[in-house]
Amino acid sequence: MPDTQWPEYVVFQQDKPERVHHYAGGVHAPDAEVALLNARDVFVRRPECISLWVVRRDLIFGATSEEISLDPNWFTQFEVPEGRIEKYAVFQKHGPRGVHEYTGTVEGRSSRDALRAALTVYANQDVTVWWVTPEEAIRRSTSDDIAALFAIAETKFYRDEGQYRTQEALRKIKAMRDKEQSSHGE
Amino acid sequence: MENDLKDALAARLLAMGDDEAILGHRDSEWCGHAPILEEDIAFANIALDEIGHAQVWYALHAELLGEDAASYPDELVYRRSAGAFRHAPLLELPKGDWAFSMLRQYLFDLYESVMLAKLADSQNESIAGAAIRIGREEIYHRRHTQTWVRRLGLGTEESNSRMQTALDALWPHVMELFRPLSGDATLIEVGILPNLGDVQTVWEAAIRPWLTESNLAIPEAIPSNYTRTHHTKHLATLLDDLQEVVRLYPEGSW
Repeated sequence: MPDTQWPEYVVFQQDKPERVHHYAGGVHAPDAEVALLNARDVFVRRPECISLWVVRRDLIFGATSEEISLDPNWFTQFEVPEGRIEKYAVFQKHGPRGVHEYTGTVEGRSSRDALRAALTVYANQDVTVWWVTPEEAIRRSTSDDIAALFAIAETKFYRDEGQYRTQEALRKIKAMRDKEQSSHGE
Repeated sequence: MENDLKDALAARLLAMGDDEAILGHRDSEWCGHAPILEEDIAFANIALDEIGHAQVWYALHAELLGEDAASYPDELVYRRSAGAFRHAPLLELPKGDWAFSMLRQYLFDLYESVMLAKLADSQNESIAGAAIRIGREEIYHRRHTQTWVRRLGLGTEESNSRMQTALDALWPHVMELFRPLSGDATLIEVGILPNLGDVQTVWEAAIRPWLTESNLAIPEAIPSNYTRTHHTKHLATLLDDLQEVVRLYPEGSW
């Protein structure tokens, strides 16, 4: 079924200054500014977060290490456009359970060209899936956003779902109902 | 504290709590019904924030009256009759379409931001502290709603026309936010409450350009006859819904 919603943006989240941005999930939004706000609402209400990046999913070019290694022509057989050289952000996913993490930047004339550059620069790393996206395509939260988007989550009082004891209440209700039914049956 | 000052303060705190509680309830009606999942989450967040803010003001109101700050807010919300509520009737109007709810939230967010910024300097330390705490959350509300007002205003023909219809319906009600309660003058005199005329001036200076730049025409509206003590028929319907369970099971606990 085609996706009739707004474009999807991939969300990368940074938890602490010494950590890199990592994949958090996706949100739909009509534009990058709304995507940033939606990303905050969906992913940042509880955990700590100091920075968010959002980028349209269709502007991310990806390839698995497996498909690259199985195709002997992967490195050579593709057209590099004449266009200008751009900076691309590189993300790596390590292992099947990992999530994409920001690795660094490379330059290229296309996404494919940039990924080839990334494979050369980060050649000796054990990567399962690669992503590259033009740096320009990333909408980053700024230091001005900290107060509005992130700071409030730190002091906010909240309950985890377990604290509502709904499971316990439901068990009690069910037990009561079972008892009633069995007494009716007698 | 002198009695008339105490009564005036209690009335104002109740009005501030009622504003947040009634708007929060109207917002919560969107839960599960917003146009897209992300907005559903966002608006539910805002609804919860407003209800949380209501609890803050209600707790101060309760303390002033010597009531229990934890349980008294429930009494106020669930066991009062319509005539005892003191919010601006603007906030009790049915949620309408998405444009209506978003625009109302924006009108209120901006009012609240201006009010809270001034209350942060209140001579009453509890109010000043609460205003600073609540104000931190309002930064995000305002950003969310102003972003949407701009996009819906400048969006398609339909989104613009829905926003304009919403503005035409809401604008006559905005003055309700700035009409003082009978005891407000006492509070303003001692520096507990800002002058609501000043709040309105700052509010208008911010809201008019934002609406105009969003391709919305500000109507030359005659202010509504409703006040914090004279509500529309919609409040009774709202309370039928909000208080339904408590009326059915007056002694129930959960």
